Amino acid sequence: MNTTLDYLRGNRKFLIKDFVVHGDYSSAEGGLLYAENLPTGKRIIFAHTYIVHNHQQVIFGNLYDHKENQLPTQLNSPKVIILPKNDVHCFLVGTETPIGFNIAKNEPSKTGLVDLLIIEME
Amino acid sequence: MHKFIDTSTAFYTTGISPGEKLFRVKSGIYSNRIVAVYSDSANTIVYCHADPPYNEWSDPATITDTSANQPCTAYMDEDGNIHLLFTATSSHDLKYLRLTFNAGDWTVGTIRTVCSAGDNYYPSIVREEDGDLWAAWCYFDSDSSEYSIRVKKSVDNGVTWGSGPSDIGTALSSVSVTAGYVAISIVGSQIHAIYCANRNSLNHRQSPLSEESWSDEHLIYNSSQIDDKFSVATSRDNKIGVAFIAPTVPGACFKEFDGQNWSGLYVAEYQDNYYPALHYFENTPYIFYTRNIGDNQYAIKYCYLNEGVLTDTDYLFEGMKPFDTVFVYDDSAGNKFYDRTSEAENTAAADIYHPNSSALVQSTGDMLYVGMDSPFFYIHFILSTVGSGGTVNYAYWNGANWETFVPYSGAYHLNSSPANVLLGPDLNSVPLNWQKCTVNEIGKFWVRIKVTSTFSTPPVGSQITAIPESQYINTIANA
Repeated sequence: MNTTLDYLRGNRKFLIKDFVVHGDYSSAEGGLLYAENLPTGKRIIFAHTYIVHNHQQVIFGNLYDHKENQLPTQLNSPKVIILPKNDVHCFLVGTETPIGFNIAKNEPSKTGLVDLLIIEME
Repeated sequence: MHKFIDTSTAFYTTGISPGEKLFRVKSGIYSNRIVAVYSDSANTIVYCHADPPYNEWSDPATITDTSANQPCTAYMDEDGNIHLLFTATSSHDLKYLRLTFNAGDWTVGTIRTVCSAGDNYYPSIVREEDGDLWAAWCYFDSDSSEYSIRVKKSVDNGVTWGSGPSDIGTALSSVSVTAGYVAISIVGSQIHAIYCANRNSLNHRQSPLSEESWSDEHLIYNSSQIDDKFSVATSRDNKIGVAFIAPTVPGACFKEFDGQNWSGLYVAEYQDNYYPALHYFENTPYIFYTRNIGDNQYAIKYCYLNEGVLTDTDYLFEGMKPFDTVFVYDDSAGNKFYDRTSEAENTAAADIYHPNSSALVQSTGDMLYVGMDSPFFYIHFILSTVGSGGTVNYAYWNGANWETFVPYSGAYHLNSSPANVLLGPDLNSVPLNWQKCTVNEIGKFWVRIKVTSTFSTPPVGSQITAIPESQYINTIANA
C-alpha cells in the first residue's frame, strides 16, 4: 500500500451548481426477530433497524458539472460536500457509494437549492 | 444493530410467517421494552426481553416445556400481557397460556385447552378490546385424515374456548389433504382471517365481532405452494396487508384490503424469495423477506409502498450481502491481484481462482481479500476443491496494521465445504478499531485471509458471500 501515491492519483473534483433537493427525510424504526440456521445450530437474532425513506437517490452518472461535463458513472471513495444556496437545510442520508448518494431536506413544504462539491478521494 | 441473543435446537425456532413472536410494551415505565417469544428446544418455549438500545437481553425464561416441536404464536394486549397458543406434545391439543405483565416481567399462568379433538397446528390469536379472545388454527381430523382451518372464541379470558375442549370450532375452509395456515386480525368491528388451506390459494373471510357470521371466501391470490409463506399486518388507517411468496410469479408479493376491495398485485422482486414479514410503519407497508443467493444463503431484503409503487428492494444489513469486492492475490504472479467479485457472488462452480495458480490461494504469502463498505461478521464459503496441507490466518486493518485473529467460529483453513466462518457472534461485535483501508486501489473494510503454510492441494472457490441462512422473520407485531 502506498498512501502517498493513492493521494496523488485520486482527488478528481466536480462542482454541480444549482442542484435542487426535493427528497424528504423520514425514517421507520423497526425490530426483527429471526433465526440464522448454521450447521452448528440455529441462532436467534434480534435486529433493530432505522429505515430511511422518501430521500432522493442521486446517481453520479446522471449529473453534469459546472462545465456541462457528465460525471463518470463510478467514483472511487467519493465524498460529497453540500454548499447551501437557500435557507432549507439539506444533508446526506447514509454514506456515499461508488455510484451515487442519497440526499434529503428537513422541510417538507420547501425545496432545497445547493451546489455540490464531489471529490474522489482515491 | 444485529444482536445474537440465544441458540435454539427447535425446528421452527422463531416460527412461521403467519405467526407473531416479537412485541413492544407500549406504555408505562417499561414502555419500549421488547419481548421475544420463541422455541428454545423441541418442547420448550421461552421469552426474553430487552430495553433500548436493545444490546442487553435477559436470560431466556421458560414459558412451557410441554410444546410439540411445532410453531407457536402470541399476541400482546394493551396492558403488556401476552396470550400464547401452542401445540401440546404427544396429544397435539391446542393450548393457551396467558403471561401476565407486572412490574416489568411476565408471570406464566395456567395452561388451558383450546381444542383437544384431533391434532391442532399453526395457530393464530387476537384479542378484542373487551378481552374476548379468538383463536384460529389448522385442525386435523384423524378419522378422515383431512385438514381444515378452524376458529373459535373465548369470552372468559381463555379459560374456556367455545363450548369446551372437544368443540372444534367453526370451519373457515373446506377440507384438504394437506395442512393449512391462517392469520387472524381485528380491524374496527370485524375479525379477518387470511389463510392458505390447500397449499395454493390465499383466501380471505371476515365476520362481525358482535356475531360470528363469516363472509364468503374471497380469493386473494392463487399460486402454487404458498403454504405458510404469507404474513398479515394492519395499518393505522384500517387497511389489511398481506405479503406472500408466490412461487409461480416467482417472488415476494403484496396485496392490500381497504375494507371493501383488494388491491392489485405488487411484486417486490422476481426472485427466489422466502420467509415474508409484513409491517406497517404508520400507514406505509414494509415488506421484509429473504432472497436466496446460493445454497444456505438467504439474505434479508426489504421494500415499501411509496405513492402506489413498491420501491426498489434493498438489503436490510449493509454487512450481510454479497461482498462488494473480492480479490485473489498470488504472490508469485506478475499481476498479483485478480478481481473475482462477480464470481464470488454467483453460484457457478470452480470460478474463484487466480489465473497464475488456478487456485483460490496456494503458496505462502498468497491471499484472499473480501471487502465491503460496511463491517461484516460472517463469511460463507462454497469450494469446488477443498484445500489440504496448508494453513491460513485471518486479519483486519486496525488503522495501523493488519491485525490477525482467530474467527469466533474457530480456525478454518479452507479445508471443508460448505463452511461458515463467524468473525464474531454478530454484527454488533465486530472490532471497534476495524477501519477501511485501500487494497489494490479499492477502499473497503477488508478481511485478509493469508496463506501461512503452502497447500498440497490448493482450494478452488465457487461462491463466497457474507450471507447466512436467515429464516423465520418476525417484525414487532404491536409497534
